[in-house]
Amino acid sequence: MGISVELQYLETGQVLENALVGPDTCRMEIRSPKITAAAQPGQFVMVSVAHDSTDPLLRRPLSIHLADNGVLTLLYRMVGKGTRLMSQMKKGDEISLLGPLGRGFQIHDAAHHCLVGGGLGVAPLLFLGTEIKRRRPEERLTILLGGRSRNELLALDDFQKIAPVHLATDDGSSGLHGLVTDLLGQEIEGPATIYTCGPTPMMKGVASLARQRTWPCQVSLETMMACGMGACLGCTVQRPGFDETEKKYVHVCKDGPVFEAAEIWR
Amino acid sequence: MAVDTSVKIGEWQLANPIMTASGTFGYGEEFRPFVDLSALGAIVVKGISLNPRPGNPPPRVVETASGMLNAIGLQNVGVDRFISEKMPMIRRLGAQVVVNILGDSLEDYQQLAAKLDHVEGIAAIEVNISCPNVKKGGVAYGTDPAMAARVTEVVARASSRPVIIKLSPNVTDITVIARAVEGAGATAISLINTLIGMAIDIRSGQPKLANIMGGLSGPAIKPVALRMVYQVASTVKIPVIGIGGITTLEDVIEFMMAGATAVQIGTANFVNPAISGELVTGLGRYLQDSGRKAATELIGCVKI
Repeated sequence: MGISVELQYLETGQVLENALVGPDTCRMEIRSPKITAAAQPGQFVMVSVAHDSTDPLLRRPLSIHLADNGVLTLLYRMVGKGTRLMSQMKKGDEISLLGPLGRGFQIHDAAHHCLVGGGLGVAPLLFLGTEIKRRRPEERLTILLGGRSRNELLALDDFQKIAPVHLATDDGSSGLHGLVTDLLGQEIEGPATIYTCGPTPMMKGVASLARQRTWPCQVSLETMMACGMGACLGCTVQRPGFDETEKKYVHVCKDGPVFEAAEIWR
Repeated sequence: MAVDTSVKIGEWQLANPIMTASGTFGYGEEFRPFVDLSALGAIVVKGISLNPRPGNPPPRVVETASGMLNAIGLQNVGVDRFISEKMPMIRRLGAQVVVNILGDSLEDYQQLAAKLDHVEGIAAIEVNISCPNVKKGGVAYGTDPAMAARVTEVVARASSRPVIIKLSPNVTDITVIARAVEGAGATAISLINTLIGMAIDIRSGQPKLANIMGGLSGPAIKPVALRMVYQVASTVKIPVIGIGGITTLEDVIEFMMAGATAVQIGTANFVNPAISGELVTGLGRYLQDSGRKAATELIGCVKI
């Protein structure tokens, strides 16, 4: 399991573009050929946001939105000092990246691949959808996206270029008035493989429905992280029902960030 | 003329004074893409206890100003699995390896030292008597001079290798503990472990760590660490290994000037996984450029 450590790089990338694309949300394109060539959907990078400063000290883990032709794209939300500093970077600035890190999505044969994203959780799904379409062009692909309102449906145009997209918003301003989980129950029939990323309650809902319908389901988790490479053991998630010492916790950076839903929630 | 970068911890000769700190470098393997491990003075692997420990519930880490708090809770696979599963891999790294041990009782420490003494590929033992995260044992041994001396005696008797005692800064007078472990047979002293700290999320009103308190590390603690290294190095005759927020070459030199024979790089490994190797190169160049013949010339050369 996991990606060989030989494929990790510490690379100084060059910012090509950094723009506001939604409420408090930015999209950054970085020339980063080594990491881009090695990246798999669902993996992440640790981004240095403060050049030559110790505050903020730690890198920020961000999932890979797209990796194509030497260019790595990140979709990120300004939630604190680090990501605000990142939003101020300009074209031509250097940015230190560590990656690609972690265990990404596993793309197997499936009659129907279904991506379910909520809020900023759509970030890793664009890379995944692009790769599913490229590697398995004959297999069906459907994308379900949810957000609080219309302007929080991120990267919509990009998703619509690769597969049919169905929408759900909490306020009904676009698509189904309700949860993306409801959309999943309505739109998907028959055998399917589910890939989901978004707020934890949403992913738990998706995983629960997938279990009822006996759909395989992969979930992408997010936690606080210090190193991103399995050294600090800080990014733990507790697995309910596993009390043995060895299996009680998993580490998002190395065991994940993508897990089979059944590994985490029962 | 080539500069001699080597330093000695008892009879143990290190190629240079740059080591990595326990709990910040995994089992070494994780850093292979970024560091030539054989070029480092030594690596100190994640602390090992007699029995496996699951560690603390999350959240376990939180960032603070120029530092971080952690309450990992000494998660580890236990000494038997460490010997059977991790050591074969560690031996292949080509590095000088220090194994960090921690226990809840004198018997734990004695058994750990005895079990590891039969294992090949270990250069030295570092004894954690100072981790603030485990409720029983850990703290008491590091804060009471008599207890610290007894642990040192037990490990030194059970081990044929150099024994490094890692001290806690969470004490009133660290020189008292340092003298106690020196008198009990320690080969060297490493310091400081993390300072106990806390952070609160004002929106939820709850501590940011599930464990409530955690160990503060990173550049924020460097002046405190440097002061304690200076105090201890001025007090004992055995070698001192400096730890605490070391991030740059200047930091390394400061700690050596304060009296450290070697240093350990901790939290900086998380920020830049290549840092330990970069510091080895940087130190060699600095010694050359400053006209020194040996790294040992730096030790304790601060002008008071």
